[in-house]
Amino acid sequence: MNVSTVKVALVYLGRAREASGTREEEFVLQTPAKIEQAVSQAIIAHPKLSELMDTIKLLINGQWATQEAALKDGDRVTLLPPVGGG
Amino acid sequence: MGKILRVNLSTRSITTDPLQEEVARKFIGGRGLSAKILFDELKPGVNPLGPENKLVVAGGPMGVIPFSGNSRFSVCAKSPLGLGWGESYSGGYMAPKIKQSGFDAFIIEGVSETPVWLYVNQGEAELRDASKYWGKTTEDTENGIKKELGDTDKRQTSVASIGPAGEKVVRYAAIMNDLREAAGRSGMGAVMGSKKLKAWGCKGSLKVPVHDDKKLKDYVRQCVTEVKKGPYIQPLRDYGTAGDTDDLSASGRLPTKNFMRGTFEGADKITGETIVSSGLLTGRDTCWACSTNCKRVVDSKSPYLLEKEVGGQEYETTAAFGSYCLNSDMYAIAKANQLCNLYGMDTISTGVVVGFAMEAYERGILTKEQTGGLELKWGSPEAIIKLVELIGNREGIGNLLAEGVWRAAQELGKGAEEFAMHVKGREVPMHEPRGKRNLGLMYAVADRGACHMEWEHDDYWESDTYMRPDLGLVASELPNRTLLDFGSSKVKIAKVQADLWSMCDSLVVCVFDIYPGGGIEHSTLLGILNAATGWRMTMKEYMETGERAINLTRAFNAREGLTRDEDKLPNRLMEPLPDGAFAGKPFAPEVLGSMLDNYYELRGWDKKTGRPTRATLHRLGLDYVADELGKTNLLPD
Repeated sequence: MNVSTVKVALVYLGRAREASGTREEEFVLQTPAKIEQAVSQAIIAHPKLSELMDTIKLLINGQWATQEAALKDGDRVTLLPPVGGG
Repeated sequence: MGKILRVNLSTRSITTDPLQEEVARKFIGGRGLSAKILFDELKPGVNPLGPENKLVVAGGPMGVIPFSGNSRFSVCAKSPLGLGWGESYSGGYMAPKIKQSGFDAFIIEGVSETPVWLYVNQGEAELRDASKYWGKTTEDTENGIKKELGDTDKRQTSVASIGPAGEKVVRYAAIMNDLREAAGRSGMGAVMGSKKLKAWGCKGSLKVPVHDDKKLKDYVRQCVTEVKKGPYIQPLRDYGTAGDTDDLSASGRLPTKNFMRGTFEGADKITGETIVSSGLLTGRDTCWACSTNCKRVVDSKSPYLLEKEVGGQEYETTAAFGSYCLNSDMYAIAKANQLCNLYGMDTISTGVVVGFAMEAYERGILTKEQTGGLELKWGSPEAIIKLVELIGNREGIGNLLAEGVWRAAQELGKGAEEFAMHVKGREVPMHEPRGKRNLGLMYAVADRGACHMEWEHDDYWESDTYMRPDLGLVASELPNRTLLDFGSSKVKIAKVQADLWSMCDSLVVCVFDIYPGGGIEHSTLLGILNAATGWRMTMKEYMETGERAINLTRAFNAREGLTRDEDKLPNRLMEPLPDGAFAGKPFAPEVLGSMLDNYYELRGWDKKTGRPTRATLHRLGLDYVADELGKTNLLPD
């Protein structure tokens, strides 16, 4: 691992999984890394994700986070679309 | 003008009441019409399991118009589980058959001396002997009735029945129709059982006239387009309602271990995607006229015998018999679900009762002697399945647990009330208010008791995407809409959404297909309603009609003695979760208190009692309700 990069996992839930076609994948980001970089790379890889982003909530390692949150090596970022009743 | 069938089981009289257009327009059908009938005809304080209680089965005015979601009917009565108002809804194929058999609603009164079933066909009705079905499962009853009628097509007659649980008045007994559909909540099956009404069956092909056929077809076409845009539709089709199970755990909001936790390590073993990928799912099914196909078909010979006709687990069932009891065996969940369907029991209440019993066993409040040797260990599939059977038969410890957690906790004592998860006597569903503030308000204020279907949950409202100016939801006027916000914006959304979903419950349409999760807009539903009836209802009247039904059920409960004191959450839901994304964040009592104040004010309800004021009832055209409440000093000053 190059010291100027971090490897993070993106976990796609619900419609995000449907849009990305996968449950989880890894991205390598240049430091200092924020969630927005990871999300940008995910959208480039899976353009359909862009349609969902205004309703998606984000978590880092199971805790709520914003696009500006910093990422460190090994972090897991979860993309969570609305989960309703039923 | 429509028709209401009135059946008195004590006298065996069967009559028809007209449904006046003025009443139909003000109360629509489903929840609204049933609330009017039960407020007008039930005396306060009647025994919900006695002859004075009445069961109202109702469809909606859009009857047999084929669009996704238009396949529901309601069953309402005074609840034997809760403290007052009871209501439940079901899908399948019953709703159009009610209409095609010639009626808008049925009112069932009295008590039969012997088991009977009600046959409704082409505008006529008769009571038939049901002795041979008494003691049978819902499946055997339904199949027996269809055989008795000589049906050659399984959709010829739609049958709704109770199983052994309803006969033995398990307080959360369900009514099952079309084998796999449940009017599960509020104990409506127990009301049927107390009346010795084993089933009803509807057959018919009567034409239902509409006012403007061309306009109607245009709106139905619009529905087809809109429903495809619903963000929740494709996931529902793919993975069913249980598709969200692992998502809820990932976000710390999966009810786990009797609401002690918000995450479950076995969530991915029971979630909808796993039900598909494992091969447990053998098919998808749907309700009448619905393209969503959210119904699950499961079929297996081992480790448990599962019948494809009896239905697969939905989300509530998955969580209730899964994470709630720390069980990650989806086959055991499927079996518990099918047993509930066959016995005729609500899977939410049953699962919560099982979780309650497991905690009581762990704490030594329930002993092995009391359980008849059954070890109620967390996560034990065998214990879950055995307990479901015991409850369904009211055998052994099942007899106590058949009373529901509120009454069982009172009987057990020793602090059991602290972990009996209910609101107004009704078990709490499988959503976590500590991660959704509006959901907590919803659980507290719902007149039927804890309910997850009063309005759409918080997740949808943070984004501007689902704001709708035509419904009074203007993004710029509603700041602070995150999951944990609880201020005026969130409460305003709750009020607007509750009015809209109340209208859906009166039209009796499935909210899964309606905005925001489904794509069908309320303006389109209104268009269909007007085209079908010839009314010129505005959106303002549409929303007020939903609001009227809410005020009527609130007035019903006021007459039963309920006040603001009953609009509360179990203490455990106000304590912080130990795990997940919401760890350490309680739903503080002062937060709920603030939301209630705000909600009552928006509704025009008295903050002290939580009851509607005369001015509010007058605005909604319910002066007679105000007069009635005034007679017994129940109208706020």
